[in-house]
Amino acid sequence: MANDLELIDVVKKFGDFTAVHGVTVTMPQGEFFSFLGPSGCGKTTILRMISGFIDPSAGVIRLGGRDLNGIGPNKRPTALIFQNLALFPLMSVADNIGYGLMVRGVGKTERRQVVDRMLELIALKGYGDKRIDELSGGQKQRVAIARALAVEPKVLLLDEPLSALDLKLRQHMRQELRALQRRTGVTFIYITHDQGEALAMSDRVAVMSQGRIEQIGTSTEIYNSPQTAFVAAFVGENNAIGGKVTAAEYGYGAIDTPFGRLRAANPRGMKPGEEAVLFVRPERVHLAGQNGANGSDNALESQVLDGVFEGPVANILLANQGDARPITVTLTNDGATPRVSRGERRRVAFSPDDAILLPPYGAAHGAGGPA
Amino acid sequence: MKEALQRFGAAGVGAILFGVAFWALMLIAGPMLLMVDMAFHPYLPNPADVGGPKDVYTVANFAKVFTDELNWKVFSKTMYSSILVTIIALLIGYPLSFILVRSGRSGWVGILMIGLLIPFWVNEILRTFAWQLLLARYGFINTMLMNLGLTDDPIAFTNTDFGVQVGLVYAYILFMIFPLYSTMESLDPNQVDAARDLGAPFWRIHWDIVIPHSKPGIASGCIVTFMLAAGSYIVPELLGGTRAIWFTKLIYLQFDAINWNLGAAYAFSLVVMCLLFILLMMAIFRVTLKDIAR
Repeated sequence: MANDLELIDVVKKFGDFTAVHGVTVTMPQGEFFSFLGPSGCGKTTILRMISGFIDPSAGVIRLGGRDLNGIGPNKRPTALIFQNLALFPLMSVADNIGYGLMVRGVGKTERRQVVDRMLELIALKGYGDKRIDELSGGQKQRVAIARALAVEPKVLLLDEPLSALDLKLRQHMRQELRALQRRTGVTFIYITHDQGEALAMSDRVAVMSQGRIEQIGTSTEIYNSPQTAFVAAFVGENNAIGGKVTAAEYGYGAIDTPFGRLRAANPRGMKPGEEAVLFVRPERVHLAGQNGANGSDNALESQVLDGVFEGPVANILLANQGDARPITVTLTNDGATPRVSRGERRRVAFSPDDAILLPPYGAAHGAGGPA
Repeated sequence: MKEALQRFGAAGVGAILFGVAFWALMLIAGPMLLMVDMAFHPYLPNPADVGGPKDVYTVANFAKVFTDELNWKVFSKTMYSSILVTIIALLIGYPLSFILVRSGRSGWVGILMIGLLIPFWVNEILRTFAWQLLLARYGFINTMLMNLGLTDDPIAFTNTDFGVQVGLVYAYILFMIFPLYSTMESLDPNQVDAARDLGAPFWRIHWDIVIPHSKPGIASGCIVTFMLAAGSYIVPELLGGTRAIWFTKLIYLQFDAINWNLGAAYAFSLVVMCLLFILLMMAIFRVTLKDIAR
C-alpha cells in the first residue's frame, strides 16, 4: 500500500557501541505494530530514527517508497507521542491540539474545526479552554494523542506512553488506543517493555534484544511459538529445563535433563548432541493424575517449594535443577484444585506438543539472556 | 514559626528577629531614607544654616537632573546605553545559554562554562584594564584590523560610548547568562522535540516554547544587567575616560564637591529609573517578583 513503512538493514552506532544491528522490517499501512524488549534493547533508538531525531548510521527508512533520510522531524509525516507526553503546560488544551496546524499556517477557523473534531474523537468535548494541569493522567494521555493526530500523520509513534498511568487506567487506555487506531486507520508503532501491552494491542510484535529483532509475529505466534530462548523467556512466564538433545525426528526432539528424558517440539531442528533448553508454559503443566495427563506425556517429579494463591489461579513452585528459577505450575481455581503442601514431592506432566526445544541464550549471537 | 520557637526558644527567635530587623532597617532602609531626605533639601554651604529657615523642602535638586542640559544628556545617554547593553547581552546570552543547556554537561560544554567563569574570578578593574589594552588606539583589535587591511587608521574605541558599551556587555554578561541558563535547564527537552516533531521550524520552537518558559530568567537577567550597567562606575571611568561620561560619574562628582544634597537627588533619580525599568520588564514579560526571585 501507499504508506507502508520499511526499515531496511538499519544500523545505529553511538561511538563504539552499536545500539541497533541491521534491523529489517516492513510495517504495512494501518498496522498496529509493537517493538517489545527490555530497556536498552534499541527500541527507542529505532523510534527516534523513524521520527527523524537521529539519523541511521547505515540502512534505509522508507515511507510509501520515499527515502526519509535527510528529512528533519518537523518535515516528516510522522508524529511522536513522548513517554512523558511533553504537552505544552503554558498553552490551553485546544492550543496544544492545534499547535501542529498553527505552525503549518492553517487558519484560525479551520484549526478550530480540527481541534473540535479531535476533542470529540478523544471524548473531551468542551475541554478546549482547560489548562493542561487541570487534566487527569488519562485525559492528558488523550490530549497528547489528539495533538499528534491533528497533523494527520501517516505514522504515529508511541514511546511507552502508558507507563506513567496506574494499572486500571493503563488497561483501559490499551483498549482505547486500539479502538482509536482502528477508527483512524493510521499506522501505530508502539514501543514498550510491557509484554502485556504489546500482546494485547498489536497486530504484530517485534521482540528485540541487544539491538536485534529476535522474532516478528502476531501476539499468538510470539507467545505460542517462540523462536529463540530469549523470546520464550521474555514474553510471558516460561519454565526452562536445560539438557542435551539425544534424538530428533518428525519435528520432535528428545532431551536428557536432570529430570530424565523429556520430549518436545523441535521447530529449530536441533540435532542430537547439541545443548538445548526445553520451554514449557506454567499453564500447560499439570499435576500428574489430573485431566489431560496421559501415557505419552512427559513426567517429572520434584519437591514443592511454595504455593502462591492469586485468586483466579494458583501457582505451585517446584525445585528446578540446573536453573535457578523454579518450575511453575499454574492451576486454575476451578474448585477441583488439589491441596499441595510445601516440602512434599509431586509428579507433574505436560504434553510434548506444549513444550519446545530451543538453543540456549547467546547461542545465536553474543551472551546473556533477559534480565 | 512554631518549629523555630521549639528549636531556638523565645529568646533565640527574638535575637534572630532583632538581628534581621536591625540589618534591614538600620543598615539598609535608614541610610536610604536619610539620602532621600537629603535630596529634598537645598545645599547649604554654611553649616549654621542647616536646620534653619533656609533649610526647606524643595524639588530643585531633582529639577536639575532634567533641566540642566549636560545632566539630562548624560542621564538619558546612561539609560539608553544601559538598555542597549542589556539587549546586546540578551542577544548573546540567549543562544549561548540555549546551546549550553541543549548540549548537556558533556566535554566541551564544561570547558566553555569554565572559560566563561574564570575571567570573573579576576577583579572587575583588572578585567576592564584588559579591555582598555584590547581597545586602545594601537591595541590588539586595532592592530589586527590594520594588519588585515580593513582600516588604514586606528579606530577610536576608547574614550567613546561604544567602548564603554562593549566593556559593560563583557562585564555583566554572566549576570544575563546564569538566570537564562537556569530557567532553560528546567525546560523538559521533550517539549522542544515535541514542537519540532509537530512541524515547528527553529524560530517557532523558540517563540512558542523556549521563550515563554524562560521568561522569568529573561526578565531577571535583563533587570540585573540593566541595573549593573546603569550603576557601573569603574567601566565608564576606565574605558570612557573624560569624553564618555556616565551618570554615576556625575553623582560621584557632586559628592566629591561636598554637594551631598544634589548628589543624593541624582542618585535617587537613578534608583527610581531602575525601579521603573524593573516594573517595565515585569509588565512586558508578565512575570511577578516571585517568578523572578525563583
